[in-house]
Amino acid sequence: MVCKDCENNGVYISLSGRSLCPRHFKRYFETKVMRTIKKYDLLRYGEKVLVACSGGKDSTALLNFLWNLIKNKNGGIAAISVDEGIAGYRDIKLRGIVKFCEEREILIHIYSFKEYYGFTLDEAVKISKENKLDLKPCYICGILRRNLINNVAKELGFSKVATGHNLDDEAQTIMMNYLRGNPSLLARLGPKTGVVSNEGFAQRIKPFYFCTEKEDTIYALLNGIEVDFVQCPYHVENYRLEIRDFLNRLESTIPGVKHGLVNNFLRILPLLKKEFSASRVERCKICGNPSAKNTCRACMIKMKLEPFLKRVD
Amino acid sequence: MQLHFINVAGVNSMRIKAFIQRVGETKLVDLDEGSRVEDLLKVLGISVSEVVPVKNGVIVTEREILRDGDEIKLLSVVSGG
Repeated sequence: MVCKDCENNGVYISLSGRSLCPRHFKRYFETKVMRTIKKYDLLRYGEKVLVACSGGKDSTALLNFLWNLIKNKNGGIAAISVDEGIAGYRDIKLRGIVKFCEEREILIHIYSFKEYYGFTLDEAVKISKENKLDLKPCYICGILRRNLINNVAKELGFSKVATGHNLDDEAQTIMMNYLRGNPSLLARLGPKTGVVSNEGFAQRIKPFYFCTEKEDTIYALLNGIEVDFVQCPYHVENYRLEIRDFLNRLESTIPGVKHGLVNNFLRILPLLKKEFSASRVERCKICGNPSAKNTCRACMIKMKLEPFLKRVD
Repeated sequence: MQLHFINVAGVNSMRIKAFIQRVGETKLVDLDEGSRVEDLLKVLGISVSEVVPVKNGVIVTEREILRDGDEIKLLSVVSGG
């Protein structure tokens, strides 16, 4: 199918039915991202941004986009990758992102759970199962990774942490929190996260917020980024997986349903933020980071695992 | 490598070789002549929003018309983690 704007073959058909060739698809994608950045004031001239890179296509494509946008301007950009210690998974992903950064001379900071917390995710999951601690792999991973990246961003003086979250991710998270009845967690979503501005948090921004996972993939491929498929071994235990498949099935019969879900959510987000902005933010009594309770979730996880850690050694 | 055969074609058929990245499987699918990528996806039970089709090494849309002997890679857009 020929591109709507030229004679070349299309690589993508938009929701409105427009076929786009590689050149016009890139323009469509980049315009959408720039509009998101401007509309939601995600980045300002001279700001330092740390890009959280898992080694997957979304975050690598985001790093590529922001690097091209910022590299010759004031401020600064660097990548951060976290090795959680998932044998046969993260090590493969990390090799790819390190190579990508080396080729472009992008500064990359690599941290591991083992060095930072004293245990790998594999070890934490094993301890949790054996001792019935009821700590799910994705919960441990998500909380500890965010905590680590936030701490490093503050230490290194980055005001923003950019993540490769896309429209599919956001639609899934909205649906998950609706179904679980977590309105306070819904209030933390959006292109720019956080309910209460707090100096303890580096603000997290999502420039690919309105791009679908499919658009991210095509953009990555057109920029020479390898799109492999290495499945996290803990993925099967993930509630998100069921929601994702449900939304994709719905999208096949009702095209645009994910856009609708996210756009309608954004209309009520100001009300949610207002409702939950009164929530007091305390300081964790252990690490001093902002927390809804007197001990933050990262320290809670560490406290639960600590008595059993010697057995791993 | 194990190959799976699927035949949903009428009299004038063509054979397509489809590699599904997410499950690491290759399938040989017989379709009616003039079928498009979206017809192949329907037979395989895959949503258009879940894959990027690559025909003979080039990214194509779901409206692309297939020819006998075409090799299609269906790259997963879903992240693995």
